[in-house]
Amino acid sequence: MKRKAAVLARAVFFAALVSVLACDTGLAAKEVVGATEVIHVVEAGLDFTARIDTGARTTSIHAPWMEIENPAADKKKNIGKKVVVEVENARGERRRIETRIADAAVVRNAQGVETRYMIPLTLRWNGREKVVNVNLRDRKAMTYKLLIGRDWLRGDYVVDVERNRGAGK
Amino acid sequence: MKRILLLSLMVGAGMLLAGGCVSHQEQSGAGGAARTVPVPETGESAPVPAGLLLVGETEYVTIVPAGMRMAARIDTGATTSSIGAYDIKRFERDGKPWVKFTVRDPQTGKSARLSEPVSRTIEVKQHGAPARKRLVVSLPVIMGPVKTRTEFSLADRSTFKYPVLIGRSFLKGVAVVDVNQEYVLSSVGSEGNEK
Repeated sequence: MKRKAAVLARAVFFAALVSVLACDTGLAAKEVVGATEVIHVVEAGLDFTARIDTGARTTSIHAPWMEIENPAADKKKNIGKKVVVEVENARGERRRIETRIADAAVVRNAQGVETRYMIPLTLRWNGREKVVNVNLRDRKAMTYKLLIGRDWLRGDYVVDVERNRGAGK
Repeated sequence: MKRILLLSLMVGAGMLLAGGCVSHQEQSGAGGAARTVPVPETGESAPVPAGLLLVGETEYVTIVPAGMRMAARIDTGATTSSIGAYDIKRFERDGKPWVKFTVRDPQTGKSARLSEPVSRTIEVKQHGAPARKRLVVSLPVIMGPVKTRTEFSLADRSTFKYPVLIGRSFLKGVAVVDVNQEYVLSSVGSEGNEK
């Protein structure tokens, strides 16, 4: 009788330990995201259906309009300045965000020289928030107005392109 | 003695109940919540759904007809995989559209000329530029343990670091991507040049 109780106690203890350990690693573990996910941009209070793109280094958002306070001709000098940015999702919902320019990259491509500004944005998915510097782009012609790059994924998420079947391609 | 046992039993049961997954917040997402299974064995706890391979942001891919193993970027943003191709020449064989093209590995400088039937053409949207048509061929490839035939669009990608981009049509049902890692499949018993 006593032995039975001891065995039972040990079994319960072991099960408890395993479950607690599993939960601990579960909390620290990376989560699986699909090829597209609905991501909430906290500063804008808007949901975006985002393309999860491991081919992109940085995250980009559709920003059809922005106004920099006392803009300098030298775009690099605008880093740190106050800016009002309008972002727009695929449903045409627009919000203005007041923030500061985190970075500016001068990009040369076939279309000429282009300055890309970045602002910090808090992107929430599945109850978890992560702040990354997001590229402000004109994504009018693109299906997904938010493109999630490796910077947001790194350290926290793995991508299973088969997840969310039916949630758009 | 009995009291201690009883106590430990109660404490254990309590832990079991309370501990029974704080991580439920993970599971409110659409659909595949049950797939979020941590793998305790690996140092990096990456959740890999059953039956799927874990790949890094880059992997080596062997293009079988070219006899070349090339560095590929794993690109969940691309529907179809693509391969950098030079001197693309369309021709007809038995009344069917075929294409001749050269693939080149920028890491080794090696190149190979391939002839393949055209399976279809696709339109590729690129940022800022007008949409362009690309020819698609189906090529046998090897990536780690995966041997398959998969479609590649022929891209004029002379300037890019990775001659091969692996898109979603290859990854679907095959692999999960962890951008924290590189060349995962070749890191064990590798013959390749890793960085």
